[in-house]
Amino acid sequence: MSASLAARQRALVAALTQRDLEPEGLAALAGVSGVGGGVARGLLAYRLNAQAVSAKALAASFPRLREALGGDEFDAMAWVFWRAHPPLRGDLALWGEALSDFLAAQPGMDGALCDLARLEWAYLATERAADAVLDVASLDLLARTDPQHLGLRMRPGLQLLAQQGGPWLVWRQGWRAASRTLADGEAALLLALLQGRSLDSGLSEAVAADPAFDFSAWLQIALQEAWLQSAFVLDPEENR
Amino acid sequence: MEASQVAVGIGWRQPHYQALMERRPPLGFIEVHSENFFGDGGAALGVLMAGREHYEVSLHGVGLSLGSACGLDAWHLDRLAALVERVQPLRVSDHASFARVAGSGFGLHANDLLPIAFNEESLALMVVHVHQVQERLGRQILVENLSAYLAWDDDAMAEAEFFNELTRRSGCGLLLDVNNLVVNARNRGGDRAAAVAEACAWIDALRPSSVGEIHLAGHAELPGIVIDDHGSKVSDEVWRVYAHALRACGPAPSLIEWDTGVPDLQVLLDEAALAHALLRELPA
Repeated sequence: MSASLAARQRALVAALTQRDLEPEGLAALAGVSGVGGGVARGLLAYRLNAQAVSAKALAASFPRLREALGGDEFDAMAWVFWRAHPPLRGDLALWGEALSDFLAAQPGMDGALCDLARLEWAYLATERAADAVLDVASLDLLARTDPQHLGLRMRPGLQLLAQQGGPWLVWRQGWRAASRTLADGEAALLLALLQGRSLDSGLSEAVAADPAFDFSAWLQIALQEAWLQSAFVLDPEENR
Repeated sequence: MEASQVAVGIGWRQPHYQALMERRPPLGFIEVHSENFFGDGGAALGVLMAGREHYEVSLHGVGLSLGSACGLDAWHLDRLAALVERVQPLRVSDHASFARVAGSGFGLHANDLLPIAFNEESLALMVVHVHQVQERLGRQILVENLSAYLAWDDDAMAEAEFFNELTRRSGCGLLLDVNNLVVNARNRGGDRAAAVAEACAWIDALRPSSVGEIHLAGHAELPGIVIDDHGSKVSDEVWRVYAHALRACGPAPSLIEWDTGVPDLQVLLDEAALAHALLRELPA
Protein backbone atom coordinates (compact mmCIF):
# COMPACT_ATOMS: atom_id res chain seq x y z
CA MET A 1 0.00 0.00 0.00
CA SER A 2 1.19 3.52 -0.69
CA ALA A 3 3.69 5.02 1.67
CA SER A 4 1.83 8.31 1.52
CA LEU A 5 -1.35 6.83 2.98
CA ALA A 6 0.64 5.20 5.77
CA ALA A 7 2.52 8.45 6.39
CA ARG A 8 -0.70 10.46 6.51
CA GLN A 9 -2.27 8.04 8.96
CA ARG A 10 0.85 8.25 11.14
CA ALA A 11 0.71 12.04 11.03
CA LEU A 12 -2.92 12.08 12.17
CA VAL A 13 -2.24 9.72 15.06
CA ALA A 14 0.81 11.77 16.04
CA ALA A 15 -1.24 14.97 15.99
CA LEU A 16 -3.63 13.47 18.52
CA THR A 17 -0.87 13.18 21.06
CA GLN A 18 1.11 16.36 20.34
CA ARG A 19 1.09 18.92 23.09
CA ASP A 20 0.25 21.89 20.86
CA LEU A 21 -2.33 21.69 18.13
CA GLU A 22 -1.32 25.04 16.67
CA PRO A 23 0.57 25.61 14.50
CA GLU A 24 2.98 22.65 14.31
CA GLY A 25 0.32 19.98 14.76
CA LEU A 26 -1.77 21.27 11.91
CA ALA A 27 1.16 21.83 9.57
CA ALA A 28 1.93 18.13 9.64
CA LEU A 29 -1.60 17.25 8.70
CA ALA A 30 -1.62 17.83 4.99
CA GLY A 31 -4.71 16.40 3.37
CA VAL A 32 -7.00 16.53 6.38
CA SER A 33 -9.94 18.84 6.72
CA GLY A 34 -12.46 19.47 9.44
CA VAL A 35 -16.07 18.41 9.32
CA GLY A 36 -17.90 21.65 9.94
CA GLY A 37 -15.81 23.03 12.79
CA GLY A 38 -12.36 22.99 11.19
CA VAL A 39 -9.32 20.77 11.67
CA ALA A 40 -8.44 22.05 15.15
CA ARG A 41 -11.94 21.37 16.41
CA GLY A 42 -11.96 17.86 14.92
CA LEU A 43 -8.55 17.08 16.37
CA LEU A 44 -9.68 18.33 19.74
CA ALA A 45 -12.69 16.01 19.67
CA TYR A 46 -10.45 13.00 19.02
CA ARG A 47 -7.86 14.15 21.53
CA LEU A 48 -10.43 14.62 24.30
CA ASN A 49 -11.74 11.16 23.56
CA ALA A 50 -8.24 9.68 23.74
CA GLN A 51 -7.69 11.49 27.03
CA ALA A 52 -10.92 10.08 28.46
CA VAL A 53 -10.09 6.60 27.17
CA SER A 54 -6.62 6.74 28.75
CA ALA A 55 -8.06 7.60 32.17
CA LYS A 56 -10.85 5.04 31.96
CA ALA A 57 -8.65 2.21 30.71
CA LEU A 58 -5.90 2.78 33.24
CA ALA A 59 -8.40 3.13 36.09
CA ALA A 60 -9.92 -0.22 35.14
CA SER A 61 -6.52 -1.89 35.42
CA PHE A 62 -5.14 0.05 38.40
CA PRO A 63 -8.08 0.88 40.71
CA ARG A 64 -6.07 0.89 43.95
CA LEU A 65 -3.35 3.07 42.46
CA ARG A 66 -6.06 5.53 41.40
CA GLU A 67 -7.36 5.56 44.95
CA ALA A 68 -3.87 6.14 46.31
CA LEU A 69 -3.01 8.95 43.89
CA GLY A 70 -6.42 10.61 43.82
CA GLY A 71 -8.66 10.75 40.77
CA ASP A 72 -7.45 14.02 39.24
CA GLU A 73 -3.76 13.25 39.61
CA PHE A 74 -4.28 9.72 38.31
CA ASP A 75 -6.24 10.87 35.27
CA ALA A 76 -3.60 13.46 34.40
CA MET A 77 -0.88 10.84 34.84
CA ALA A 78 -2.80 8.44 32.57
CA TRP A 79 -2.69 10.93 29.70
CA VAL A 80 1.03 11.60 30.16
CA PHE A 81 1.61 7.85 30.28
CA TRP A 82 -0.53 7.35 27.13
CA ARG A 83 1.66 9.77 25.21
CA ALA A 84 4.91 8.33 26.56
CA HIS A 85 3.93 4.66 26.22
CA PRO A 86 0.98 4.46 23.81
CA PRO A 87 -1.05 1.26 23.50
CA LEU A 88 0.35 -1.27 21.07
CA ARG A 89 -2.75 -3.43 20.76
CA GLY A 90 -6.45 -2.91 20.24
CA ASP A 91 -7.13 -4.55 23.60
CA LEU A 92 -6.71 -1.82 26.20
CA ALA A 93 -6.45 -4.32 29.02
CA LEU A 94 -2.96 -5.01 27.68
CA TRP A 95 -1.92 -1.38 28.06
CA GLY A 96 -0.15 -0.58 31.33
CA GLU A 97 2.69 -3.04 31.68
CA ALA A 98 5.23 -0.21 31.61
CA LEU A 99 3.43 1.83 34.26
CA SER A 100 5.49 0.73 37.27
CA ASP A 101 8.76 1.55 35.48
CA PHE A 102 7.25 4.82 34.23
CA LEU A 103 6.35 5.78 37.79
CA ALA A 104 9.77 4.73 39.09
CA ALA A 105 11.37 7.16 36.61
CA GLN A 106 9.39 10.10 38.00
CA PRO A 107 11.41 12.28 40.41
CA GLY A 108 10.43 11.82 44.05
CA MET A 109 8.05 8.95 43.34
CA ASP A 110 7.15 6.81 46.34
CA GLY A 111 8.50 3.31 45.73
CA ALA A 112 5.40 1.81 47.34
CA LEU A 113 3.29 3.21 44.49
CA CYS A 114 5.57 1.51 41.94
CA ASP A 115 5.11 -1.74 43.85
CA LEU A 116 1.35 -1.21 43.86
CA ALA A 117 1.35 -0.65 40.09
CA ARG A 118 3.38 -3.85 39.60
CA LEU A 119 1.01 -5.78 41.85
CA GLU A 120 -2.14 -4.52 40.11
CA TRP A 121 -0.70 -5.33 36.70
CA ALA A 122 -0.02 -8.87 37.94
CA TYR A 123 -3.60 -9.06 39.26
CA LEU A 124 -4.95 -8.13 35.85
CA ALA A 125 -2.87 -10.75 34.04
CA THR A 126 -3.82 -13.38 36.59
CA GLU A 127 -7.53 -12.65 36.34
CA ARG A 128 -7.38 -12.97 32.53
CA ALA A 129 -5.36 -16.19 32.58
CA ALA A 130 -6.81 -19.45 31.28
CA ASP A 131 -9.21 -21.25 33.59
CA ALA A 132 -7.71 -24.45 35.00
CA VAL A 133 -8.47 -27.03 37.66
CA LEU A 134 -6.28 -29.31 39.70
CA ASP A 135 -5.36 -32.55 37.95
CA VAL A 136 -5.89 -34.73 40.99
CA ALA A 137 -4.84 -37.96 39.32
CA SER A 138 -1.44 -36.52 38.44
CA LEU A 139 -0.62 -36.12 42.14
CA ASP A 140 0.03 -39.87 42.30
CA LEU A 141 3.32 -39.08 40.59
CA LEU A 142 4.53 -37.42 43.78
CA ALA A 143 4.63 -40.79 45.52
CA ARG A 144 6.13 -42.85 42.72
CA THR A 145 8.48 -40.59 40.77
CA ASP A 146 12.04 -39.62 41.58
CA PRO A 147 11.95 -35.86 42.35
CA GLN A 148 14.83 -35.45 39.91
CA HIS A 149 12.41 -36.37 37.12
CA LEU A 150 9.29 -34.71 38.49
CA GLY A 151 7.94 -31.27 37.69
CA LEU A 152 5.07 -29.36 39.26
CA ARG A 153 2.95 -27.17 37.00
CA MET A 154 1.41 -24.09 38.61
CA ARG A 155 -2.03 -22.74 37.69
CA PRO A 156 -2.07 -20.26 34.77
CA GLY A 157 -1.52 -16.70 35.90
CA LEU A 158 0.42 -17.56 39.05
CA GLN A 159 3.47 -15.32 39.20
CA LEU A 160 6.28 -14.17 41.45
CA LEU A 161 6.93 -10.47 41.92
CA ALA A 162 10.10 -8.85 43.17
CA GLN A 163 8.71 -6.15 45.43
CA GLN A 164 10.59 -3.74 47.66
CA GLY A 165 9.64 -5.68 50.79
CA GLY A 166 10.63 -9.04 49.33
CA PRO A 167 9.07 -11.65 47.05
CA TRP A 168 5.29 -11.69 46.50
CA LEU A 169 3.08 -14.31 44.99
CA VAL A 170 0.01 -13.49 42.87
CA TRP A 171 -2.43 -16.21 41.94
CA ARG A 172 -6.10 -16.72 41.16
CA GLN A 173 -8.72 -17.94 43.58
CA GLY A 174 -11.90 -18.47 41.60
CA TRP A 175 -12.32 -15.37 39.44
CA ARG A 176 -10.29 -13.06 41.67
CA ALA A 177 -6.55 -12.58 42.09
CA ALA A 178 -5.01 -13.02 45.53
CA SER A 179 -1.54 -12.16 46.76
CA ARG A 180 0.75 -12.56 49.73
CA THR A 181 4.38 -12.27 50.71
CA LEU A 182 6.53 -15.37 50.41
CA ALA A 183 9.18 -16.75 52.72
CA ASP A 184 12.57 -17.16 51.04
CA GLY A 185 12.28 -20.95 50.81
CA GLU A 186 8.83 -20.81 49.18
CA ALA A 187 10.02 -18.19 46.72
CA ALA A 188 13.07 -20.24 45.74
CA LEU A 189 10.99 -23.38 45.15
CA LEU A 190 8.33 -21.57 43.14
CA LEU A 191 10.90 -19.80 41.01
CA ALA A 192 12.53 -23.10 40.11
CA LEU A 193 9.19 -24.75 39.34
CA LEU A 194 8.01 -21.82 37.21
CA GLN A 195 11.28 -22.12 35.28
CA GLY A 196 10.35 -25.73 34.52
CA ARG A 197 13.07 -27.24 36.68
CA SER A 198 12.67 -30.47 38.63
CA LEU A 199 11.18 -30.71 42.08
CA ASP A 200 14.54 -31.97 43.31
CA SER A 201 16.28 -28.90 41.98
CA GLY A 202 13.61 -26.65 43.44
CA LEU A 203 13.87 -28.28 46.85
CA SER A 204 17.63 -27.82 46.86
CA GLU A 205 17.13 -24.12 46.15
CA ALA A 206 14.45 -23.88 48.83
CA VAL A 207 16.58 -25.51 51.53
CA ALA A 208 19.55 -23.38 50.55
CA ALA A 209 17.40 -20.28 51.04
CA ASP A 210 15.74 -21.58 54.20
CA PRO A 211 17.23 -24.65 55.91
CA ALA A 212 13.94 -25.18 57.81
CA PHE A 213 11.87 -25.34 54.61
CA ASP A 214 9.15 -28.01 54.93
CA PHE A 215 7.91 -29.33 51.57
CA SER A 216 4.94 -31.23 53.04
CA ALA A 217 3.61 -28.10 54.69
CA TRP A 218 4.20 -26.12 51.48
CA LEU A 219 2.38 -28.72 49.39
CA GLN A 220 -0.64 -28.56 51.65
CA ILE A 221 -0.81 -24.79 51.24
CA ALA A 222 -0.28 -25.06 47.48
CA LEU A 223 -3.27 -27.37 47.25
CA GLN A 224 -5.47 -25.35 49.58
CA GLU A 225 -4.74 -22.04 47.85
CA ALA A 226 -5.08 -23.45 44.32
CA TRP A 227 -1.50 -22.74 43.28
CA LEU A 228 -0.87 -26.19 41.89
CA GLN A 229 -2.33 -27.50 38.63
CA SER A 230 -0.57 -30.83 38.10
CA ALA A 231 2.50 -32.98 38.58
CA PHE A 232 4.28 -34.30 35.50
CA VAL A 233 7.26 -36.36 34.50
CA LEU A 234 9.97 -34.17 33.04
CA ASP A 235 11.41 -34.87 29.65
CA PRO A 236 14.85 -36.32 30.55
CA GLU A 237 16.45 -34.41 27.67
CA GLU A 238 15.11 -31.09 28.92
CA ASN A 239 16.16 -31.79 32.49
CA ARG A 240 19.86 -32.19 31.83
CA MET B 1 -40.88 -11.51 7.60
CA GLU B 2 -38.29 -13.71 9.32
CA ALA B 3 -38.08 -13.48 13.10
CA SER B 4 -34.32 -12.90 12.92
CA GLN B 5 -34.90 -9.81 10.78
CA VAL B 6 -37.08 -8.15 13.41
CA ALA B 7 -34.76 -9.05 16.28
CA VAL B 8 -33.88 -6.17 18.56
CA GLY B 9 -30.97 -6.32 20.97
CA ILE B 10 -29.02 -4.20 23.40
CA GLY B 11 -25.33 -3.63 23.90
CA TRP B 12 -24.49 -5.65 27.00
CA ARG B 13 -22.05 -3.67 29.12
CA GLN B 14 -20.51 -4.37 32.51
CA PRO B 15 -23.05 -2.32 34.57
CA HIS B 16 -25.80 -4.63 33.25
CA TYR B 17 -24.03 -7.99 33.51
CA GLN B 18 -25.87 -8.92 36.68
CA ALA B 19 -29.19 -7.22 36.00
CA LEU B 20 -29.63 -8.91 32.62
CA MET B 21 -28.86 -12.35 34.02
CA GLU B 22 -31.24 -11.83 36.92
CA ARG B 23 -34.14 -10.49 34.86
CA ARG B 24 -33.55 -12.25 31.56
CA PRO B 25 -35.89 -10.03 29.55
CA PRO B 26 -36.85 -11.29 26.09
CA LEU B 27 -34.34 -9.89 23.56
CA GLY B 28 -33.50 -10.90 20.04
CA PHE B 29 -29.78 -10.81 20.86
CA ILE B 30 -27.15 -9.09 22.96
CA GLU B 31 -24.05 -7.47 21.57
CA VAL B 32 -20.67 -7.12 23.29
CA HIS B 33 -17.39 -5.49 22.37
CA SER B 34 -15.12 -8.30 21.22
CA GLU B 35 -11.93 -6.83 22.68
CA ASN B 36 -13.32 -6.98 26.22
CA PHE B 37 -13.19 -10.78 25.99
CA PHE B 38 -9.73 -11.35 24.52
CA GLY B 39 -8.33 -12.89 27.71
CA ASP B 40 -7.59 -16.62 27.87
CA GLY B 41 -10.08 -17.06 30.70
CA GLY B 42 -11.44 -15.31 33.76
CA ALA B 43 -14.62 -13.69 34.96
CA ALA B 44 -15.46 -11.63 31.86
CA LEU B 45 -15.41 -14.66 29.60
CA GLY B 46 -17.33 -16.63 32.22
CA VAL B 47 -20.05 -13.99 32.28
CA LEU B 48 -20.23 -13.86 28.49
CA MET B 49 -20.59 -17.62 28.21
CA ALA B 50 -23.29 -17.56 30.88
CA GLY B 51 -25.12 -14.92 28.86
CA ARG B 52 -24.65 -17.03 25.75
CA GLU B 53 -26.72 -19.78 27.38
CA HIS B 54 -29.76 -17.48 27.36
CA TYR B 55 -29.23 -15.12 24.42
CA GLU B 56 -27.85 -15.05 20.93
CA VAL B 57 -24.65 -12.97 20.98
CA SER B 58 -23.19 -10.63 18.39
CA LEU B 59 -19.50 -9.68 18.59
CA HIS B 60 -18.86 -6.06 17.73
CA GLY B 61 -15.23 -5.01 17.47
CA VAL B 62 -13.68 -1.60 17.86
CA GLY B 63 -10.04 -2.48 17.24
CA LEU B 64 -9.51 -4.45 14.04
CA SER B 65 -8.47 -1.25 12.31
CA LEU B 66 -9.62 -2.45 8.90
CA GLY B 67 -8.48 0.75 7.17
CA SER B 68 -4.90 0.85 8.45
CA ALA B 69 -2.27 1.15 5.74
CA CYS B 70 0.16 -0.87 7.90
CA GLY B 71 -2.10 -3.93 7.74
CA LEU B 72 -4.02 -5.96 10.27
CA ASP B 73 -2.57 -7.05 13.59
CA ALA B 74 -2.26 -10.85 13.35
CA TRP B 75 -2.47 -11.12 17.13
CA HIS B 76 -5.78 -9.25 17.14
CA LEU B 77 -7.20 -11.43 14.41
CA ASP B 78 -6.09 -14.59 16.23
CA ARG B 79 -7.79 -13.47 19.43
CA LEU B 80 -10.96 -12.61 17.55
CA ALA B 81 -10.94 -15.97 15.78
CA ALA B 82 -10.58 -17.78 19.12
CA LEU B 83 -13.48 -15.79 20.57
CA VAL B 84 -15.67 -16.45 17.56
CA GLU B 85 -14.89 -20.15 17.83
CA ARG B 86 -15.84 -20.13 21.50
CA VAL B 87 -18.97 -17.96 21.34
CA GLN B 88 -20.36 -18.97 17.93
CA PRO B 89 -21.89 -15.52 17.55
CA LEU B 90 -24.86 -14.50 15.48
CA ARG B 91 -22.88 -11.77 13.75
CA VAL B 92 -19.33 -10.36 13.81
CA SER B 93 -18.69 -6.72 13.02
CA ASP B 94 -16.19 -3.87 13.18
CA HIS B 95 -15.77 -0.40 11.69
CA ALA B 96 -14.58 1.28 8.50
CA SER B 97 -11.82 3.06 10.37
CA PHE B 98 -8.14 3.01 11.18
CA ALA B 99 -6.26 3.20 14.48
CA ARG B 100 -3.11 1.20 14.00
CA VAL B 101 0.01 2.75 12.54
CA ALA B 102 3.48 1.30 12.04
CA GLY B 103 6.27 2.50 14.23
CA SER B 104 9.23 1.12 16.03
CA GLY B 105 8.63 -2.51 16.95
CA PHE B 106 5.15 -3.55 15.94
CA GLY B 107 3.45 -0.18 15.92
CA LEU B 108 0.95 1.79 17.90
CA HIS B 109 -2.81 1.46 18.30
CA ALA B 110 -4.69 4.71 18.88
CA ASN B 111 -7.73 2.82 20.19
CA ASP B 112 -10.11 5.18 18.42
CA LEU B 113 -12.24 4.99 15.28
CA LEU B 114 -10.29 7.33 13.01
CA PRO B 115 -11.69 8.17 9.58
CA ILE B 116 -10.55 6.65 6.32
CA ALA B 117 -10.63 8.36 2.95
CA PHE B 118 -13.47 7.48 0.62
CA ASN B 119 -11.45 6.78 -2.49
CA GLU B 120 -10.22 3.87 -4.58
CA GLU B 121 -6.94 3.40 -2.66
CA SER B 122 -8.71 3.20 0.66
CA LEU B 123 -11.43 0.97 -0.76
CA ALA B 124 -8.90 -1.49 -2.18
CA LEU B 125 -7.16 -1.65 1.20
CA MET B 126 -10.42 -2.24 3.04
CA VAL B 127 -11.43 -4.99 0.60
CA VAL B 128 -8.13 -6.83 1.15
CA HIS B 129 -8.46 -6.58 4.92
CA VAL B 130 -12.13 -7.60 5.00
CA HIS B 131 -11.26 -10.61 2.83
CA GLN B 132 -8.44 -11.48 5.22
CA VAL B 133 -10.77 -11.35 8.23
CA GLN B 134 -13.57 -13.26 6.56
CA GLU B 135 -11.20 -15.99 5.41
CA ARG B 136 -9.72 -16.31 8.90
CA LEU B 137 -13.11 -16.42 10.59
CA GLY B 138 -14.75 -18.49 7.88
CA ARG B 139 -17.77 -16.22 7.83
CA GLN B 140 -19.10 -12.89 6.63
CA ILE B 141 -18.51 -9.81 8.75
CA LEU B 142 -20.40 -6.53 8.89
CA VAL B 143 -18.60 -3.19 8.61
CA GLU B 144 -20.02 -0.09 10.28
CA ASN B 145 -20.08 3.49 9.00
CA LEU B 146 -18.45 6.01 11.34
CA SER B 147 -19.19 9.30 12.95
CA ALA B 148 -16.18 11.40 11.95
CA TYR B 149 -14.89 14.78 13.08
CA LEU B 150 -12.21 15.02 10.40
CA ALA B 151 -12.20 14.09 6.72
CA TRP B 152 -9.54 13.45 4.11
CA ASP B 153 -9.17 15.96 1.29
CA ASP B 154 -8.81 13.21 -1.30
CA ASP B 155 -12.27 11.76 -0.75
CA ALA B 156 -13.37 10.87 -4.25
CA MET B 157 -16.67 9.11 -3.79
CA ALA B 158 -19.75 9.50 -1.65
CA GLU B 159 -19.66 7.48 1.56
CA ALA B 160 -22.72 5.42 0.60
CA GLU B 161 -21.12 4.59 -2.74
CA PHE B 162 -17.95 3.54 -0.90
CA PHE B 163 -19.95 1.08 1.21
CA ASN B 164 -21.84 -0.20 -1.83
CA GLU B 165 -18.51 -1.02 -3.46
CA LEU B 166 -16.99 -2.43 -0.26
CA THR B 167 -19.89 -4.81 0.31
CA ARG B 168 -20.04 -5.79 -3.35
CA ARG B 169 -16.30 -6.46 -3.76
CA SER B 170 -15.63 -8.09 -0.39
CA GLY B 171 -18.92 -9.83 0.31
CA CYS B 172 -19.21 -8.20 3.72
CA GLY B 173 -22.42 -6.61 4.94
CA LEU B 174 -23.07 -3.08 6.17
CA LEU B 175 -23.71 -2.38 9.81
CA LEU B 176 -25.72 0.78 9.32
CA ASP B 177 -25.37 3.20 12.24
CA VAL B 178 -28.16 5.71 11.75
CA ASN B 179 -27.04 7.83 14.71
CA ASN B 180 -23.65 8.30 13.02
CA LEU B 181 -25.39 9.55 9.88
CA VAL B 182 -27.25 12.19 11.87
CA VAL B 183 -24.14 13.20 13.85
CA ASN B 184 -22.13 13.64 10.64
CA ALA B 185 -24.88 15.63 8.97
CA ARG B 186 -25.22 17.91 12.01
CA ASN B 187 -21.47 18.47 12.10
CA ARG B 188 -21.50 19.40 8.44
CA GLY B 189 -23.71 22.29 9.44
CA GLY B 190 -27.21 20.99 8.89
CA ASP B 191 -29.98 21.82 11.31
CA ARG B 192 -32.04 18.94 12.68
CA ALA B 193 -34.45 18.76 9.77
CA ALA B 194 -31.67 19.06 7.20
CA ALA B 195 -29.70 16.35 9.02
CA VAL B 196 -32.63 13.96 8.79
CA ALA B 197 -33.00 14.70 5.07
CA GLU B 198 -29.27 14.23 4.47
CA ALA B 199 -29.18 10.95 6.40
CA CYS B 200 -32.22 9.64 4.54
CA ALA B 201 -30.63 10.53 1.21
CA TRP B 202 -27.48 8.66 2.31
CA ILE B 203 -29.61 5.59 2.95
CA ASP B 204 -31.45 5.94 -0.35
CA ALA B 205 -28.09 5.71 -2.13
CA LEU B 206 -27.35 2.32 -0.53
CA ARG B 207 -27.75 -1.11 -1.99
CA PRO B 208 -30.63 -2.12 0.34
CA SER B 209 -29.68 -5.78 0.55
CA SER B 210 -26.26 -4.91 1.97
CA VAL B 211 -27.62 -3.86 5.38
CA GLY B 212 -27.06 -6.66 7.91
CA GLU B 213 -27.78 -4.79 11.14
CA ILE B 214 -28.74 -1.31 12.32
CA HIS B 215 -27.30 0.52 15.32
CA LEU B 216 -29.20 3.14 17.29
CA ALA B 217 -27.69 5.36 20.00
CA GLY B 218 -27.78 8.80 21.52
CA HIS B 219 -25.44 11.71 20.87
CA ALA B 220 -24.39 14.85 22.73
CA GLU B 221 -24.92 18.34 21.35
CA LEU B 222 -21.99 20.46 22.52
CA PRO B 223 -21.20 24.06 21.53
CA GLY B 224 -20.12 23.91 17.91
CA ILE B 225 -19.97 20.12 17.63
CA VAL B 226 -22.15 17.04 17.99
CA ILE B 227 -20.43 14.04 19.58
CA ASP B 228 -21.42 10.41 19.13
CA ASP B 229 -21.10 9.56 22.82
CA HIS B 230 -23.73 6.81 23.19
CA GLY B 231 -24.74 8.54 26.39
CA SER B 232 -28.44 9.36 26.04
CA LYS B 233 -31.70 8.18 24.56
CA VAL B 234 -32.04 7.91 20.80
CA SER B 235 -33.04 11.33 19.49
CA ASP B 236 -36.25 11.99 17.55
CA GLU B 237 -34.19 12.69 14.44
CA VAL B 238 -32.44 9.35 14.67
CA TRP B 239 -35.75 7.52 15.15
CA ARG B 240 -37.04 9.19 11.99
CA VAL B 241 -33.96 8.12 10.04
CA TYR B 242 -34.29 4.60 11.45
CA ALA B 243 -37.91 4.36 10.31
CA HIS B 244 -36.80 5.55 6.87
CA ALA B 245 -34.01 2.95 6.79
CA LEU B 246 -36.49 0.18 7.54
CA ARG B 247 -38.79 1.34 4.76
CA ALA B 248 -35.93 1.76 2.29
CA CYS B 249 -33.88 -1.34 3.08
CA GLY B 250 -36.39 -3.65 4.72
CA PRO B 251 -36.30 -5.07 8.24
CA ALA B 252 -32.90 -5.67 9.83
CA PRO B 253 -31.74 -6.75 13.29
CA SER B 254 -31.43 -3.59 15.34
CA LEU B 255 -29.42 -2.67 18.40
CA ILE B 256 -29.64 -0.07 21.16
CA GLU B 257 -26.14 1.03 22.21
CA TRP B 258 -25.39 2.93 25.43
CA ASP B 259 -21.77 3.28 26.57
CA THR B 260 -21.47 6.51 28.56
CA GLY B 261 -23.32 7.09 31.83
CA VAL B 262 -25.10 3.77 31.42
CA PRO B 263 -28.59 4.04 32.98
CA ASP B 264 -30.85 1.41 34.48
CA LEU B 265 -31.34 -1.62 32.26
CA GLN B 266 -35.03 -0.78 31.90
CA VAL B 267 -34.16 2.41 30.02
CA LEU B 268 -32.40 0.37 27.35
CA LEU B 269 -35.23 -2.14 27.25
CA ASP B 270 -37.73 0.67 26.71
CA GLU B 271 -35.64 1.97 23.81
CA ALA B 272 -35.45 -1.55 22.41
CA ALA B 273 -39.25 -1.79 22.63
CA LEU B 274 -39.56 1.39 20.55
CA ALA B 275 -37.31 -0.09 17.87
CA HIS B 276 -39.30 -3.29 17.94
CA ALA B 277 -42.55 -1.40 17.48
CA LEU B 278 -41.18 0.30 14.37
CA LEU B 279 -40.01 -3.03 12.97
CA ARG B 280 -43.44 -4.53 13.60
CA GLU B 281 -45.14 -1.71 11.73
CA LEU B 282 -43.47 -2.76 8.49
CA PRO B 283 -45.74 -4.51 6.00
CA ALA B 284 -45.24 -8.29 5.99
